[in-house]
Amino acid sequence: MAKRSSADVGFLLVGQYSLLGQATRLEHRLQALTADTTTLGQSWIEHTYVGLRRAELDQDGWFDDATASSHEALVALPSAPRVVSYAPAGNAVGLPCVIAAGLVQVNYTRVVERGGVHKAAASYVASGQVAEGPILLPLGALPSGDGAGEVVDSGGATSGGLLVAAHVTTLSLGGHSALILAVQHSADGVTWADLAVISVTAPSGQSVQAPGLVQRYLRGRWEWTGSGDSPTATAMVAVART
Amino acid sequence: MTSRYTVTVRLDWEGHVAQPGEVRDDLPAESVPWLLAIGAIVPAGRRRRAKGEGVSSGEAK
Repeated sequence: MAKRSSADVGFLLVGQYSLLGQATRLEHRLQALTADTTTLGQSWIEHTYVGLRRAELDQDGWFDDATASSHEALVALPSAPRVVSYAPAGNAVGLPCVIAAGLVQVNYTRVVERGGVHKAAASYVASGQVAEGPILLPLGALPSGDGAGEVVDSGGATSGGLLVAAHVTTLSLGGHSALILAVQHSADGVTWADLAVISVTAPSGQSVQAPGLVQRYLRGRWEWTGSGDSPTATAMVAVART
Repeated sequence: MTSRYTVTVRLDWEGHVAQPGEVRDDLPAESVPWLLAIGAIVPAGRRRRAKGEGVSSGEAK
């Protein structure tokens, strides 16, 4: 483990929006819910874990009404949960990414004050899982041909499934029918099997939960389906063993 | 023991690609056990082969 600073943050993705350039602060809280189970005769309060955890995320930053910037991303208060991912330690294969698979945005605060730059803030509560795991495809432009990313060695297989987050912030299919973002796993680093497949036809943030056994080695791959010419996309894929 | 397997999810190995539904006989031997264990491949169903019909790598049977 190492200390990290604000300069290390690799990305902040809210659905299809990349908000790193507008964000100044994230506060991410995890809480284990407990009940007071103190009885008569006890001299100290007793709490018992009730099997539930809660996650909340606050985001502060600059107000920006440019296309695909903070105001557009936050003002609508969408009723559907959003996939939010951020990279506290950088944007490279294998570095950690916090994935919140279903965050419900509960407010949007716009601050306008004398002598200051307008600010924008939002808060989310989790409706689903929050987990942390490696980046497989760092946020960046994908090549126009099909391919796969570098391999992440997790040290062993696990049996609890895999949470996958895929964000596409820009997409031009160039005539192709879709962009496929997939996570592959392997026990030997020789043969790779698709574990989760996400089809994208427009900028979006998506998550899927792949159940069951997840092999030791992981990598992301991308594929342009159908025929087309010079497709472009900016995308990120990260996973967390669950 | 059979060496022909029906692929259930996309597989990639050493420049080869197999799509779901394909029957392959050229999978890396060392990978077959774990691919079977996760259900990524299943033994291909046996059928009577027509006279003169061969098995070639990568061909759907």
